[in-house]
Amino acid sequence: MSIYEQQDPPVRDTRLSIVDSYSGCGCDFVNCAKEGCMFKKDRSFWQANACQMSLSLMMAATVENSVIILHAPIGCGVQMSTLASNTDSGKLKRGLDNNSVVWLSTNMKKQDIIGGGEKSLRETIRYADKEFRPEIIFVVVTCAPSIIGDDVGEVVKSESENIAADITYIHCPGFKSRVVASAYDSFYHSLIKHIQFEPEPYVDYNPDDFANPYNRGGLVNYQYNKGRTVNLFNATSINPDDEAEIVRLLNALDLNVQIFAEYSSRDKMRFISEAALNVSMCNVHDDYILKYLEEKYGIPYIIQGMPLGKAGIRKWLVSIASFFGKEEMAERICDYEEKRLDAALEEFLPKLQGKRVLLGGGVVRVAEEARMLRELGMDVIGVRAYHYDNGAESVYEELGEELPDVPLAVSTQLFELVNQLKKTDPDIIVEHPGKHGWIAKTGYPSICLFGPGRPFLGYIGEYAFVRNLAFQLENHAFSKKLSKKIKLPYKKEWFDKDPYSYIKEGK
Amino acid sequence: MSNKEENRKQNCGSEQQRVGCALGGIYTALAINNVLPVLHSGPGCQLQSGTVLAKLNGGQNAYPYQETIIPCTDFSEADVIFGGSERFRKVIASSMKYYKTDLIVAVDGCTAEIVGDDIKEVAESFEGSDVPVIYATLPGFKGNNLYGHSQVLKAIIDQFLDGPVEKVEKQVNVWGIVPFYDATWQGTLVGIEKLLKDLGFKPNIIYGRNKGIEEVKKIPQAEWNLLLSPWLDLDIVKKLEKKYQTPFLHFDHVPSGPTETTKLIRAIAEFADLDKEFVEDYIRDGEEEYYYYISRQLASINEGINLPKTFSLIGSAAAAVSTVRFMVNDLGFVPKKVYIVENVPEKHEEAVRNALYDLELEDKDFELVFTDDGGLPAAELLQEETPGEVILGSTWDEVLARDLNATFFPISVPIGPGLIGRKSYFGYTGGVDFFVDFYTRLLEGGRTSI
Repeated sequence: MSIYEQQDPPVRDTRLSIVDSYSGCGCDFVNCAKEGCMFKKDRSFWQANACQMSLSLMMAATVENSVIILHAPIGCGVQMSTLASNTDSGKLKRGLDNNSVVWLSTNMKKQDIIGGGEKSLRETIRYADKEFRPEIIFVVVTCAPSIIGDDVGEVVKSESENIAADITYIHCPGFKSRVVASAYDSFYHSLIKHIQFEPEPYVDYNPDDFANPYNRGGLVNYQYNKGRTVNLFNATSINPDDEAEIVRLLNALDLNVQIFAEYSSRDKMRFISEAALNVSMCNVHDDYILKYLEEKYGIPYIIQGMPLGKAGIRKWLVSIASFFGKEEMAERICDYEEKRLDAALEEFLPKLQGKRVLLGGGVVRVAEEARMLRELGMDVIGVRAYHYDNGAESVYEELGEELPDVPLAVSTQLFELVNQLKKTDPDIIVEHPGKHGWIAKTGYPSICLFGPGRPFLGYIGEYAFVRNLAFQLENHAFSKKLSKKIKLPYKKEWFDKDPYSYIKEGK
Repeated sequence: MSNKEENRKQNCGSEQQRVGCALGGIYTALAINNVLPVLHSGPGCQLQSGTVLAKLNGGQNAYPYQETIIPCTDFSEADVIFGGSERFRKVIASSMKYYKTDLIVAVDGCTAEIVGDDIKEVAESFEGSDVPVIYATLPGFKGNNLYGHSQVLKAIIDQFLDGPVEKVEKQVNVWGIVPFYDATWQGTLVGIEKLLKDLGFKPNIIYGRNKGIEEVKKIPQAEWNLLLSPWLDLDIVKKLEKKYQTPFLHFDHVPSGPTETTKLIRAIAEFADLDKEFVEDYIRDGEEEYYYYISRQLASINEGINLPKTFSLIGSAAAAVSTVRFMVNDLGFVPKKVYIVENVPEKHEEAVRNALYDLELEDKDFELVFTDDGGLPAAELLQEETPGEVILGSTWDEVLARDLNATFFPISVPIGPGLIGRKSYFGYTGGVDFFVDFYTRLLEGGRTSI
């Protein structure tokens, strides 16, 4: 049975070879992964991490006209209140109606844990359908119902007959995986299982047009358009400015672009199958759905790192163009854009030369960004990936060749970061959002690896990133003074140890 | 740094008014409890002088003499022809009769000055009356409200205060803060008063709650004067030095946040020879307080938003120096362009420039422009390649910030119609309030440019 036919999706730990604890250097990183020694590593001490449910919610909340039902005790999903404002601005920036996301909780209590929560889930589903008339209802299955064995699949299946909305469920209990990237698979699995990916006859198109022997034009037109349509898969870390930049580059190749699955809707998702090629913007997000679409509809896909940095963008764009036989055109576009970018970057580059930078964040993005910063003349003194799986192998092979001596670690852990900062004393840190407060407290300036409100991908993204980096390299008064006045919670003994000394053999 | 000519820019006209008419000097009188200005001016002059300084600057109004009850001759055509001195005398006399007041400041505006009414003679004719009457000429064509402010203070010193008196040990007068013009004046003065008391002084402040004619009378007995501004009131403290031999300590701004507040305290300690250990303890406690509070907000401002790094500022010299110092020395920002829009007298430009460039910043390559055209900054910044991701200024600049896709934060007159209460960004706790208000703006859908 294919994994796509299973009721619940597999977590990444079982689907891929995956690791979340490692410390070594660029040259032996991929070897260690290939030989398998990397996958035996574990940490004997952990600090709090993230939950795959939070990323699942992040994606589901963006789908237009949907309602989220958290099948959970009331505390799960309080993050929705902060998520809602992000989603609103994301919708606004993409020109969508910013109807705020609606979420409900089944509010599981002691009696639900003992007697099962299926009954209250059914009631909540019917209430949500009647009250809000959504297009899609996402049931989010958390730890508690998974442990007690609520058959949410059965509830969703039988309730779908009773309600007007499409309904699906996201299986994302936090205990299943320490690697939050599993959430992407869970979310896409929920779409694969219950959401229609093909156009609806007489709604989206008129089948008579294609059957009419006197109107061949309709069919030719359709095939032509489909033959030059590309599906682009986004995620929360790819903001509207990034999408606009990538669409700009693909449009320049004379391609149509459809973007899924964040900020999409039921009506838009029916066109997922109507494309010649699926394109990933980051390996971590979407290999699961791309492989499914190939298996089901025979649409080929391209996973080629991220369009970050001149070399990265060129490689990414050319690989897409070559599918359509337009390599030459892509090279020309890249030449032109690079010339423009170089001129724009001229005034900022001197400030970056030789500056020592430490990077941390999503596995593919940090690697691509590290190569970009090296290309710009910075001294990369360390890279910390949040996890590693064999999907990122090709990216890390290249990184290992370009930066063989750079220490590479797989870590989300703050205590390790703070220690590494004190040991390496970088000029600036490029980090995943959420860690910057601690970096400032340790006394260092930092800049977001990604975030809303500014482009990060493509040529405009590189310009904006470099410009901000140059700004950030000036005036470190805030972090310097803060670190002098603030007490870090770690003892001196911790700083005497190696930052990754808690990583041990044996899982 | 470019030369002076280049940095003093003037257009053929001025837009976006950021200062009041000289008649706005009456707000300095109104800030002193029970001091009543009586106006010899056109009927609308008072209203015009107050809009930028009070209503649109933190929703302020005077108290107890709320603006609409201020006596005025409502200068008319007949007065232009025949002179209005007599009517002015009558208005002052009735004001004395019907208003509870400790001191009357007789002031005139443009028209009375032009037709040549002698308000000096009018004021002097009340010599010996129950309520003393002093006079100040405040025609708008002579200067802005800062000129008016200075005129009113000089009138008080010259005409109301007596000759040299015995000094009172530890008494300190505080100068440099222009009431109403600096929207946070009340809170700031309360903060300074507390600081000076904590350091063992007897602060004497003449503006604000419970500060009235008694405080004014105490001005000559001060042991020294504390001046907290780049140039304003420098003439006042010099005058006091001459008349009463009171020395003064000139600190070039009202400090916000730990770095500058600490500098001020150390400057005072050195000037007044305070116990070093006591002062350093006090500083340590203050800095600890600031960092404790901001540490408890750091997670919020670092979660997933792209914090801006650069800013441009448009404002009064006092607001500019205070804000730029805090933004650069404590918050780690980088200035791009600074516009001083209050028509700083040329002889003080150097002092303002020195104060502004005295920063803990390696590359001080930002530009400083003196102008009295409030519309110039917008016209120039819209053409700039890097205009700054944050615009600090007055309510006028909100539109500019929107056009630049930058975050706006009000710091200078007029800050807008929102109510100000007793807010202040002075000192260690004021630094926390600035930090909180500023980052709240950024978090509440604040814009960041690319």
